[in-house]
Amino acid sequence: MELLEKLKILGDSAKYDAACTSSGVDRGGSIDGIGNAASCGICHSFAADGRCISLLKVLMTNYCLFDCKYCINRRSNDIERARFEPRELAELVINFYKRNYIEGLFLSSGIIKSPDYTCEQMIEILRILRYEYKFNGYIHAKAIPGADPLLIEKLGFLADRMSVNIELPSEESLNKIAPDKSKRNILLPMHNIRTGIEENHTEIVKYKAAPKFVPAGQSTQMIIGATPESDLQIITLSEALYKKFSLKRVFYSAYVPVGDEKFLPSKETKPPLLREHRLYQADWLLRFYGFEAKELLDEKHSSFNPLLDPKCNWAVNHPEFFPVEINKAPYELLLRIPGVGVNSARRIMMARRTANLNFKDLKKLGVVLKRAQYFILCNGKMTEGLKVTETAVMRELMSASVVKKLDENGAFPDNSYGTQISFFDNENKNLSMEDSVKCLTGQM
Amino acid sequence: MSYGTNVTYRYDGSFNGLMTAVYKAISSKKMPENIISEEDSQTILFHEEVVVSDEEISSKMQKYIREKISFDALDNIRRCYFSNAKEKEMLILKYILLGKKYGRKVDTMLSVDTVITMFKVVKRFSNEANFYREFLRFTENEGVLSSVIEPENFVLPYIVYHYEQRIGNLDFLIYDKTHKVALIHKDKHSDIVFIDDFSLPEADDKERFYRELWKGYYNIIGIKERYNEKLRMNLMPKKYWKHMTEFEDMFGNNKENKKCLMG
Repeated sequence: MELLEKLKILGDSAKYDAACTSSGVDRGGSIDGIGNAASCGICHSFAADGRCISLLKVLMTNYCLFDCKYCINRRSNDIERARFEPRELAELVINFYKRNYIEGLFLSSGIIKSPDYTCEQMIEILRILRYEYKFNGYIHAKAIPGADPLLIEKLGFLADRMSVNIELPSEESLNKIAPDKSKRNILLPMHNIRTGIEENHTEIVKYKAAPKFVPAGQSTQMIIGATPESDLQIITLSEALYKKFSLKRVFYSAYVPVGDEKFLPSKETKPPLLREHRLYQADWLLRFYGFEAKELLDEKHSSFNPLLDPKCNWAVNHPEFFPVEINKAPYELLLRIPGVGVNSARRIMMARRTANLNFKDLKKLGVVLKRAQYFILCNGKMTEGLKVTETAVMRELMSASVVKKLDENGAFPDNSYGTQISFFDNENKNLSMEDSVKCLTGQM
Repeated sequence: MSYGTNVTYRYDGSFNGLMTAVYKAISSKKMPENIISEEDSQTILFHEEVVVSDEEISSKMQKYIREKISFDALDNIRRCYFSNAKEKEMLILKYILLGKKYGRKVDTMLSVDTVITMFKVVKRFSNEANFYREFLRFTENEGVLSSVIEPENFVLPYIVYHYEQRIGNLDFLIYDKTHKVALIHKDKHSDIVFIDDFSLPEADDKERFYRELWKGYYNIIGIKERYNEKLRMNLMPKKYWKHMTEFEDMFGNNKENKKCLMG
């Protein structure tokens, strides 16, 4: 088989993996090798779906012993199969890397012969890259569930980042849809990698030249919409993974139907992209904005509001926090204002040391006033002439595309500001409009 | 500093020249009407004063900025100088004057127009430099990697280090078509030189082979059910596509393909 053909098959098989970041490790070039790594990560291109291409993301092979129903490479699926020779793949990586197409390699694989054998083959590819080509760029390797911990460890000393995909957010779904995998088989390597990283940290403190084990940390992925878990379950699980396993990232991948299987959405189902987007927004809130999962959702509201992003949704439901005085509020509170991001919050902290900030200044600092104005005061005052009605507020808080859709359906009554709006009456009522209006008009 | 003088300084376009002009303005305590470089305008203005670039004064000025304001401030000034911002010289002068008054605090004064303008110019510049870590593509020919870029700002000095780290053991050349300047890295040593014209060598068989592989990979990696042209364009502005391998057929850089199309 020609290399191009192989690359197409094995790239196609790997594309549903969302992780393609090259971040988390800073490493200069070496005297006789090739490559470096930048901790911010570098995207080299963006595919037609707008996802970043940073690493050459391929499977070593798409032959697989397992029969996970959600997976395009499941044993029972009738597709073309291929396998890279270790040397062939290593050479491809180097040639792509030289030309600045990629930052490195993302290597995953179907299970051939046994998990141990598969893992050994992956180690061989990484060994050639690291030792023969003296490749210093980024490598992300999948830990093969069920492989010997010693092999996983060996892989970890060659890779920058490792991941074990949870794929299905509950044990029940896992048993039903991925009968060859088990919760134990997934969580055990995750646990081992975390322990390995911790032990390695103490070694590096002792001996500076100690080899680094998974220096960019580990990540995982969950498939969204293949099984019935709620957003609350997913985001709670993510939070636990960040805390318990010190994961660097949890990726969410909207399920794209790969065939008509029992227990799975039919082939006509569209991938739940908005849901995936909301989960990423919430994930960001957990990692950078000091939110906890239980603040964002609860048993009564177990899925995210499709109309509002999780932060705005939280804000309109928590009038007791607002309005926030920009010139006095602590950093943690600034972060909770819709329209204020990590960057603008930092800039506010910096700028207000030397000057009293007004609304015009905030705009210059990159605050999205359109949203923020309803939640803030500058020196005790709101924006002059600001009309606070629920329609106006909701219009500003929702994304342009949502507003457009609602307008097309006539959901916003013309010029009748303040009246009850139909779309708030649906069963998924996450916002209490009465509260938000009270908050916004300063009655509370 | 007194305002209302209408003298315009003309400098030779070099960083040393600019620093000399700034020094002159500060030491004479007179705010110039404008500072322009040789290329800016051919007509000689009535109240024009030519500033002769002086290396010693320049390094004195830079030392002053580093010590009295901050290291970051000097870095901002350099980036601003290499940018294509309009009237960047006066912006730099005003920024230094603020720094002279407030010291290192100046960079926190984001509500002052001069500071925020400087901040934005530097950000634009750094973003573009970053784009050229991402979207630059090399062609390999006889052991040399070469690339053509068309940046708005003069970013070459700011991407040298990155490529030295990345592929420092290989010989490479990056040609900035906008500014007609090339970065040449040979035998682990880099130089920036003026070159009037440069075009990529014809791709040989090996080069073609890897380009086809890359294009093949690029085209299958997007998930059809998720196509999002707007998102792609936001993250990778179209102006960069012209020199990217994955779009070469679109822009007709691929001569063979062009021939095929023309029959």
